[in-house]
Amino acid sequence: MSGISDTMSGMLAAEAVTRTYTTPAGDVHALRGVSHAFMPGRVTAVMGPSGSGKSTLLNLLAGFDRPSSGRVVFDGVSLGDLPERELAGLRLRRFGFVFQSSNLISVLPARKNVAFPMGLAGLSLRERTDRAQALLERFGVDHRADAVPNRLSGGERQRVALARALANDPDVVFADEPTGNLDRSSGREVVNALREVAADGRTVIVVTHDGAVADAADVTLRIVDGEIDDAADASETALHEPVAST
Amino acid sequence: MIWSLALHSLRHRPLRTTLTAAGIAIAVGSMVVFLSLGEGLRQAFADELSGVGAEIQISSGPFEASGFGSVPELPLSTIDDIKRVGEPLGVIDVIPLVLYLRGGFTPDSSFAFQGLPADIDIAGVYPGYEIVAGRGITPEDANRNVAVVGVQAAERSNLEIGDPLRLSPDATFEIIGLADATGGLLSNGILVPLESLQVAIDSPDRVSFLVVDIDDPSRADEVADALGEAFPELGVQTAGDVLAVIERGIRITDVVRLGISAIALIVGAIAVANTVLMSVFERTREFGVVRAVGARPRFLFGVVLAESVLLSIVGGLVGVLLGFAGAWIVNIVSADLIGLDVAAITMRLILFSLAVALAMGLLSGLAPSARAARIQIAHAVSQGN
Ligand SMILES: Nc1ncnc2c1ncn2[C@@H]1O[C@H](COP(=O)(O)OP(=O)(O)OP(=O)(O)O)[C@@H](O)[C@H]1O
Ligand SMILES: [Mg+2]
Repeated sequence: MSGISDTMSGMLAAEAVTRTYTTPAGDVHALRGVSHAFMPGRVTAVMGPSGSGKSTLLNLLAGFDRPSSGRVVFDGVSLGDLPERELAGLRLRRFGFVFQSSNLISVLPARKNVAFPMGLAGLSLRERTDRAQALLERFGVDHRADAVPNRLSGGERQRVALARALANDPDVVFADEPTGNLDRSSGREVVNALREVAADGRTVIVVTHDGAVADAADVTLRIVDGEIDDAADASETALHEPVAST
Repeated sequence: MIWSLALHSLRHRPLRTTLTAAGIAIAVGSMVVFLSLGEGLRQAFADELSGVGAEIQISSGPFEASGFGSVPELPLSTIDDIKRVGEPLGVIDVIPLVLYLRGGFTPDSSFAFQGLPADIDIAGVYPGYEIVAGRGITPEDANRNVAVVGVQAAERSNLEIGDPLRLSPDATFEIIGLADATGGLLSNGILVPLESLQVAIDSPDRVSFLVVDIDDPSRADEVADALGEAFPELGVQTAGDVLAVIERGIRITDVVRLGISAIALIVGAIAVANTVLMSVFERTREFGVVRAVGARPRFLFGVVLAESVLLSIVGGLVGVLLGFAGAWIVNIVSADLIGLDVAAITMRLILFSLAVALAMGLLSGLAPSARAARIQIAHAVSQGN
């Protein structure tokens, strides 16, 4: 895995971001002005009650959705200014994703799931297979490389998903409740893996209800009612030093 | 990538894939059978007419209007007029022919009687004419009720030499021989002396057709035009004209058969579109993930379109095989009933069917593909959590 030398590459920031959903029942103000800079080399946990707007924030940061006002800036570029084609390229080469569960392509075996984004990026079959194998080994699931997702345990699935998130060596890894369906020990494995990913110098953003995940994070961001809860501000937890990039 | 993902998806649900492909196969297969009937008829008529030696034939009116089996209307005296006008044009001979169809309730009790002068060389009218058993008609038979039966007609109706053949309550012909010739026209018919047939159907001095023999077959069109001008009240056709009329008739049945096939194809296409669309809805979340990891909308469009194209290519190939089987069965039945292979599967029919299957796949895949391309990632990945 190539290291990321430029510390500031991969910085993602929300600037006064709001998101209002228009529904037949009226407007839902899911985010009411969130500003925060997510730093490379650190795991940032986004916490908060259900319905507070965590997933909405993640969707905006990842470019799945566009803010009603405010900006999401990645490496100095506002995502809102990019056409869908370039957003897809960004997600392919600079972002990686892990979702709560069943976020693998069900018809493809584990190795092909990991190799899939590499194929989209135009890597040769050989490179794809070798790299995918190496990533599966890294997360300890290489022995399951030929199994389709529904033959994998929940923990194995999330580790394969993590391997896939790193397929094209991204700068930012997003995870929405990656431990939501896992028991404690599987959850811990996934958290440790996320910490390792941050240790590569990547920006890791984890939406979670899981206290154990928050404890392992470098930064915790609390969202309440679509706003950052200042009482538990995004101060660095003293537990972990930010991981220096190589 | 697109094809590989499409293939994996189809293989992942073998039962659904098989059933959908089977639906296409049946639609395409029935189309192949329907259309093979037209191809078979074309071939049959081309074969039959290539077995007729005459380049020009004359009837009492336009060919289309002079139904087979209606009363002979052409006065025998016309022969001399045509000979006189035709001599300078290269007409060698003019042979009268009476055609009489005795209808029956079943194919094996229907007979096509052809009356030709007893003193002519039959091989001049039917190339390859040969007596297979018994004897042929000789000049002495001119006013006798004797018949030479084509081998296929004999086999179909179980006729043997010596058997009586009833044409009407008053006229019975005795079978004296069996004959065969190139093409099926003679082989499916019954040859009798012209004079006795005229008496039997009570139509002396009238014939159905005049068969004109010319010295240079390549000038048939020219001679036919000249004769047509000299005798505007007569219908003058070359073998090519006859084929063209038959071709037009088959075309009309083509339209009907295409129409019936189209219904099967449309039903099939809707079924495919429905299945593929359902499978898109089922995979909304998964497709959202595919988009999240960096695929563009057109990638998903391609995957879904590739799935329906693969389905229809496989269905189309199996459908053509089904069509072969169907045409084979049709021919077993038709050979037994009327001594003709009415279904034929030609290369152009195969290519046409595969093209139709492919078009069906493309068309029925469009709506589901467009649906897949429109999936919103944020909405899709939040489903089913
Ligand atoms: N597509 C949508 N249309 C309308 N309202 C929406 C939509 N998505 C989310 N919301 C609403 O916006 C608010 C924030 O939702 P969001 O999913 O971001 O919450 P969350 O913090 O992720 O909750 P959870 O912890 O339950 O996942 C909620 O009130 C939700 O009902
Ligand atoms: Mg959520």
